[in-house]
Amino acid sequence: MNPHKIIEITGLSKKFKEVQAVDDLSLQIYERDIYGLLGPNGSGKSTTIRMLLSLIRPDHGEIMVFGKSLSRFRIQILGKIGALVEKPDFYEYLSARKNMEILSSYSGKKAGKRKIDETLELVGLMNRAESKVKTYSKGMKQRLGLAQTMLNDPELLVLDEPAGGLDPSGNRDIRNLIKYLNREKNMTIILSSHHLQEVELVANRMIIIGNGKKIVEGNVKDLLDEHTYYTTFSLDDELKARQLLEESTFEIEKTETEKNKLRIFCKRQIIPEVNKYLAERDISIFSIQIEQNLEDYFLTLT
Amino acid sequence: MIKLTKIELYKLFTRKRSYIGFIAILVIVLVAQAAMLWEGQAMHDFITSNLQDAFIMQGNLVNGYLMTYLVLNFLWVHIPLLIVIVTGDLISGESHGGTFRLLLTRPVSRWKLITAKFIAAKLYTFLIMVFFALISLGLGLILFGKGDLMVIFNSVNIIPENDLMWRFILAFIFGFIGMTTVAALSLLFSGMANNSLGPILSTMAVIILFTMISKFDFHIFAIIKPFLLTTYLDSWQMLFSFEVDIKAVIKDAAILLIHIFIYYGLTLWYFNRKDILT
Repeated sequence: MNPHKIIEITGLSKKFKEVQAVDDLSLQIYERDIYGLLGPNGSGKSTTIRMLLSLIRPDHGEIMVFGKSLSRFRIQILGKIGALVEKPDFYEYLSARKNMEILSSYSGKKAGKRKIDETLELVGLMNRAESKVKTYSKGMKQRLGLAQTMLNDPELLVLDEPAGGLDPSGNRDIRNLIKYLNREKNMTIILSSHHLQEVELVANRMIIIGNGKKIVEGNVKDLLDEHTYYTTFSLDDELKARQLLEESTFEIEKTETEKNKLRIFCKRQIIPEVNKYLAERDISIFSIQIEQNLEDYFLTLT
Repeated sequence: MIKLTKIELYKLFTRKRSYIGFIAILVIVLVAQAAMLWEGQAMHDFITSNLQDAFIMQGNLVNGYLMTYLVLNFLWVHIPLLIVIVTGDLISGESHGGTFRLLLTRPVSRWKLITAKFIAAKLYTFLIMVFFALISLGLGLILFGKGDLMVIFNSVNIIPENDLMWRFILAFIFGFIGMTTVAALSLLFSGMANNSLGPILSTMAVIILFTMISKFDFHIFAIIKPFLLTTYLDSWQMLFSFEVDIKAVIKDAAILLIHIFIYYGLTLWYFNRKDILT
């Protein structure tokens, strides 16, 4: 059975004066997807997300969410969505708890103390609930931004660059939270980012957009496996390793060496086999790093 | 709608900026009253020196009513500015602060949000005017006592003490309608802008410019005068004619109410189409 479509965007376009921000974009997001919306800065990700949340009116196209037209059933649809668009801005002169109370009031049903405590606990801000937001760090505001998305128990979570301003451990916490919400709360999640790895670590499907147009859309693993990347092996004998690979049948397009490092250009699905092959031939491998950034990936697509 | 209005009022009254108006009115009126207490009689004698040959002046003419009548003239520019500082920021403040990104992704309609802000602005203006009335009239009567009011409006009008209170009450009600019109104009500009200062300066620029046009007796301005809100802002003065043309006062109040509805409608129309880009 086909999974249920949560979002269907058809022929979406938006122009700001002379700039075509989004150009005839179509995409589908299915129930319980963690859907990565990827693209370099200025590619149209934020405009797409803002149109999806009715912050911006599209020039053309249709957005269907939960099987209903967003333009006609905006209130009903937004009641089932939690969103964090770019950096979260709160009423700085109020406490985190008061901000949560105000925001939940706009959702029609005011969240009780227990619900607010639960969401603040989930993002690790319970001990600062009564502090004014102006005393918060950038990372804390980001976590508070995430907390407010969960106040109305949404079915769909829209997160635009949610890890912005967070340190590596905060970044990991966000990834874990996204996976938890998807797995345990059955939430469908849209994650916008310009970091390919950030999306790869959590998303099952993704779209890459550039200049407002769809470049590619599909299963994250399939899309990434299809392409070639530079992979760097840290090992003890790079010359022997290079010779072994040249004698092998692996499809490797390029190899480069420097002291204790071997850099190969190949499809990433063969990396585990290359690793095994070298290890079996007495090469000690200390680390493997795939150089997989959006810019390189983007270049291979365009 | 009640819930949304309560939230707006909560946000409004938890900001320090909202109290500037009250403090400023207190200071302005107290300074004016202190000056009047100090040399009010001398000033009064100087102003009425030409009349003293024709009239016999008796009783307490430098009284609380005269004081209140004088400070009512703050409705020209001072009180509008103090109101606009707050109301001009009600919508644009959310744009500038980025909080619209959070609010408008919630299941709340834009027209309800704007209407709640309009109601909050009206209530704020009402409280400012009540405070202004209490400080000027209440404190004025305590400090200067009662007496007849002598005003020069078209001609010299001396209104007996027992015929004054209703005029002042209506004057403050008219002032409230006028100030609500100013607040509505500032909300219109606020809905269009993404910064706090723009709507405040734009509203005051419009008030000052229109006031100048309203007061100039050039034929070229005669065509547009009936359409300017400033033409009607000072109509409370008609309440201090000896014979009050109450129909004219009501007509001017009705025109101001029409202005309020036009500004409200334009704000809704514009904001419903506005892209939230901040």
